[in-house]
Amino acid sequence: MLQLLNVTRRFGKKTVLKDLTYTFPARGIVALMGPSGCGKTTLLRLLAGLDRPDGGEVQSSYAKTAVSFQEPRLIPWLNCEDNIKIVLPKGNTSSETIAPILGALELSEAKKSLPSALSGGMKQRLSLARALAFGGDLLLLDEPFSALDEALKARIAPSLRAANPDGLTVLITHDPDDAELLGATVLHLTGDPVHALTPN
Amino acid sequence: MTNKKFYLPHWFFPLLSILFWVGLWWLIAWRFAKPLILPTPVAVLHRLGELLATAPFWIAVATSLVRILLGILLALAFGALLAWLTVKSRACHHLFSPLLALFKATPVASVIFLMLLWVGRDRVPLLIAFMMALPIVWSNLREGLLQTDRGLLEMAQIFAFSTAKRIRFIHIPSLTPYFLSACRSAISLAWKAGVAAEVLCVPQRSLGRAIWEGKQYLLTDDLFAYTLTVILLSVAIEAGTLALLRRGQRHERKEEKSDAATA
Repeated sequence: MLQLLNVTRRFGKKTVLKDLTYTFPARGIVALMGPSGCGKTTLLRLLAGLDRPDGGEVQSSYAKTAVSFQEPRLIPWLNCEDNIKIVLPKGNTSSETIAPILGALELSEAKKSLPSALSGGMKQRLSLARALAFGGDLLLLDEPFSALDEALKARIAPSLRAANPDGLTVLITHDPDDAELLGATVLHLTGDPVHALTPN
Repeated sequence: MTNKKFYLPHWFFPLLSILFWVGLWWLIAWRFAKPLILPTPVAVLHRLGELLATAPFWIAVATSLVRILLGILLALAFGALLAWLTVKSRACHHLFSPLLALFKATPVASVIFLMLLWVGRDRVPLLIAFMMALPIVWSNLREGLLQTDRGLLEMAQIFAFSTAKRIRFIHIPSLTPYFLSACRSAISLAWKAGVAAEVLCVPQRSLGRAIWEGKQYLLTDDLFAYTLTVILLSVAIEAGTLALLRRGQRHERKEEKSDAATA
């Protein structure tokens, strides 16, 4: 269960989220949508436990949270394969374990490349691959498709849909088509400051 | 007609520059013809050759090296500790920052004479090398810690990196350029200040004492030969340290690649 209870978050004098209360479904895919700067990433950071609310509470019963950040946050001195291996538990880091994930995200050819040699889209896919390989039951994705073309989105969408069947995936997107592609339930951040998550 | 390009080796221009300046030195020494004031390069090299065959020369080199390098090593250890403390704790930052400013601003000669009174002549060069290197190591490593990518640290938090994994795969690689820069600046400065402390405190069996004796007894060839030794050692220590660190860095990168699998 993932629950927001009267969550408020301020940055200086600006209130971004105000008394936000919402209970997410236990499983499935939820897409958060709203205008730029409305507080989507702020909300995702609160859900990930990277930030604390100024008021209220975020309650999560999920054991393991994986995040694909808006900026890929790859370790620059490790190659693609090692950037994934490093988040895996000991004993589960063979190249054979990682190969299907790299394959699904069309990164097999680049597995020995350093992040500096990758395009923006490849970096984003590697960040996704890392989150999928980690295997959390709460999967948080901040604009996972923003640097990908339509054809590539369509090819990797099935992997994302199947990634977390028993848990909850929350993604941020600006594009309703992305939400549709993943079969996600859309929630709009409404109000200024945001005080509700309203379904489509 | 073929258009072949001719490339000079990388050492050609540095060598040409050294030859120019040594040539100028030789010309001035030859023109004034006062070997007590300015000996010729040939006389200095001849004297250095003689000294190289004597045991006291090597004892002085070894003693000075050990004293000053120990000071630098202590500065590396304490500088790293202070950098970490002052980044982690605001109270420590406020407590130790004036000390950093004091170390940077105090004239080295004053400290040498004070130390001479407090700790005795044999320990002064070590402490001076320590005091000269400490602020450089401290401020460089502190800056390195502050500049560590916050995004990577958050990523490490999300993916539950252990402390050892975080240090090995994020902190150490991020700090390495700052550490190399600190070593480059600190070693040459501490070495020169350490030898200056030896010249002023004249501890037994030291390069500084040999330089002081050269000046005291007008043994100008000795003065120049020992000074040349100090310069050559400074260059060798800096080059050796950087080569070692770079080698370590390359080895570390290779290990990181293989250990990412098992970490």
